[in-house]
Amino acid sequence: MRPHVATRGLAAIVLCATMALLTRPGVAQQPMFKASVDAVRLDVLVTDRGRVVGGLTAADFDVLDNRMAQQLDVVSFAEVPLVVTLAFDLSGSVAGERLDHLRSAGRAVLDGLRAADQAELLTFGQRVVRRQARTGNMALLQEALADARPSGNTSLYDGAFAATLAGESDDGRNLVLLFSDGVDTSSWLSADQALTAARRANVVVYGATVRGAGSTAFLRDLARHTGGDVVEVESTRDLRGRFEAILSEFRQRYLISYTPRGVDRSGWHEVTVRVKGRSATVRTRPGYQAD
Amino acid sequence: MRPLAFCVLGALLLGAPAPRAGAQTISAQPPRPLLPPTELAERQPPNRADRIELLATWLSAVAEHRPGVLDPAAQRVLAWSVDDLLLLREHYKSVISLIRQPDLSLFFRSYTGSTRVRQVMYSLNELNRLRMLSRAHGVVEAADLCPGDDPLRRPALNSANHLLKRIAVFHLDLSVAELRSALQDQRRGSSSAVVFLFDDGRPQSVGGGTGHWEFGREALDQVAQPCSVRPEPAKDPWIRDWYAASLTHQIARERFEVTHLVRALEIFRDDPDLLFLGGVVHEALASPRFQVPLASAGAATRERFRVASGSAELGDAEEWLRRARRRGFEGAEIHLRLGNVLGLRGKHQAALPELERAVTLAGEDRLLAYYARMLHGRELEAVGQRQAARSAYEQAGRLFRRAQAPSLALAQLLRAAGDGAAAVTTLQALLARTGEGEDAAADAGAAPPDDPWWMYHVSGGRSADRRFRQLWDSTPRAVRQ
Repeated sequence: MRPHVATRGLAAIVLCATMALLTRPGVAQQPMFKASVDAVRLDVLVTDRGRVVGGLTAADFDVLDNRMAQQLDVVSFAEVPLVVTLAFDLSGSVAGERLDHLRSAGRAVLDGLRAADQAELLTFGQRVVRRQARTGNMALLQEALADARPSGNTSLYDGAFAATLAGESDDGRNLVLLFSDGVDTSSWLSADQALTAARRANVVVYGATVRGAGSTAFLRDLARHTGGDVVEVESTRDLRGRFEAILSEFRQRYLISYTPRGVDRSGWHEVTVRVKGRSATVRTRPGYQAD
Repeated sequence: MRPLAFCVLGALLLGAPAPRAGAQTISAQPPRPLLPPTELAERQPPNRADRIELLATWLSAVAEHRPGVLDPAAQRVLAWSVDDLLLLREHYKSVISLIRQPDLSLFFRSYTGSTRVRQVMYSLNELNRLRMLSRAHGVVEAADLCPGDDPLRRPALNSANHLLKRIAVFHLDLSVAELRSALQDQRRGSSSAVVFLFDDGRPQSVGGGTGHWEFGREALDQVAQPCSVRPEPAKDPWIRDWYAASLTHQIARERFEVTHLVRALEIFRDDPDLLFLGGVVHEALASPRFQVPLASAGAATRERFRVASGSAELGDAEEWLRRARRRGFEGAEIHLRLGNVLGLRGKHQAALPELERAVTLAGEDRLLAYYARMLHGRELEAVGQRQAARSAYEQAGRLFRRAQAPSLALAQLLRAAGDGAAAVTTLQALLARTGEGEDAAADAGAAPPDDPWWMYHVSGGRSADRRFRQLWDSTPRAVRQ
């Protein structure tokens, strides 16, 4: 298995991107995608003094794979549909007002998705539950979100593992939005196992937690391994706005694809992405595992 | 109100109907309170103005109490405050002293763990009433009389022991019944006993309990050998059973008072059963369920609870479990827990034979067999034996088909081995089983529990039911004039 290799995935993305271009008159010509069995996908956020930088092309990026410069096949921006996995901590501590706020935040994400986007709802108390399988039918997701009830302890590591593995898709750009308000108390898997799996996953994890809740360190590691970020809110009341901001930010990331050249086809590959000629901040996953 | 049976403790604490032969049922549901808080809060407080009357009321409750039943006597005292209990502890020893030495007129209060002694003063009227109480409760059945006992003139010597044991059982039962609700929060503060309560990784109550454990310990410290006045609790197997029952209860409720364990092992330092339970307690205290909340609570709280760091607790667990085994403790569970502890300490090669033995000895015990296979799989994986690990996880999955841990372990194993497609297939099969209908039923408590893993630490107390019944059956019967 090549976790970050696009085969069917890139073909699907090519189709989606092409259809998007064909159905939107007036859009400037974008580079066409090329399917390749060995392609690596990177989800990249470029910011300059806190502002997202758009309009970059393949010629603007330097990508090093194990320190070897790579030639980019594809750079896309905002055109590829999203596959969002909502992974919510629904342990006993998320009840009452917190649950209302979390549901409201989840609804905001679903409301912000577009026609071609898909989403899935996983929750974890002590058990990991798939409340709604991946679908483009937002009504089903809204219903599942409304029906979800909190209970039990927190299997954060199990939930994170399931979300990053289940959240992988060849159908678009994969975002896992993981909320937890507490610490792991009942997982079978360890934090290291969940993080190791995340390093292999072709997903970007944005973690959200309540300040002082105790799960921040793990979420930070998870975000770092996947090129995502962590937001800490003072109150779950703030989740809705932060989730909307995450979705907006994620849409402004570049999807970079390249076929590794001059490097071994196995083991851990350290990846460095830079923007040529400007002091932009680039956030992406630190590498990928080629098996 | 109809008395509520405290137990069947195992069924109550593990939230399940009586187990069928060959089928171990457990629940991930939290322990249910035995009485709703409102019922307790409405009870009348005792008359604190008259300390001898308070003592008499309490002694009557101790005598009336039917071990193991939340009867009216237990309910009355359960509603008392820490201050009430402290007041009692100042004076009940005077009754014990008068039973053993009826002519006594000077009374001293000593303190467990301290050399400090303080004289307790009584008025003549109070002293006379204390003598009456000692005679009323200083009665035993004929078979328990000692040479020289004169039931018509003075309390029977052995009645002091009997009363002390009944006091210990009474307060053990109250500890069992004590709620972790706001009621307890209202009363906490002055007891030196510390109970650590948490829910979902968050400290819920980090203050003192009402001191029932402490009361029981203090009473048992005074138990003498039959027909003797010299306290020798270490020679009394009933006291050993009291500690074992109370420790299994603490394990089953994840409600630890480390002082309790320390005292048990001070008295019975070489008892294999207590050493094993000590290992189980330290194993549980090493878990993130305790360590994470304690880490955020600060060093002072950790000190107060007498809970060390996770690695130190694991070290203690290994030491106690090894000592238990050296002293003859046998069976699958000690291999299981020692294997787990060794694995968590990174001693994977040492853990493997322990867990292999646990698998072998678990036999028809489905719960232990499940734990043994899961942990064996974990350790096999740690030493790179992935195929054997996979087999162990699959065997565990067949024991509890709705359990999540085996599927998660398998998916993780496959993912780590580079077989992402198989990992996804395994995970998707698991997630497909977690349909909303099943989950809703389970959340409502209508479905059997999914995964024994969630109860691993609690399962160390699954002998509580049996131990309590044995203790209650052997508690001296109250005889009153």
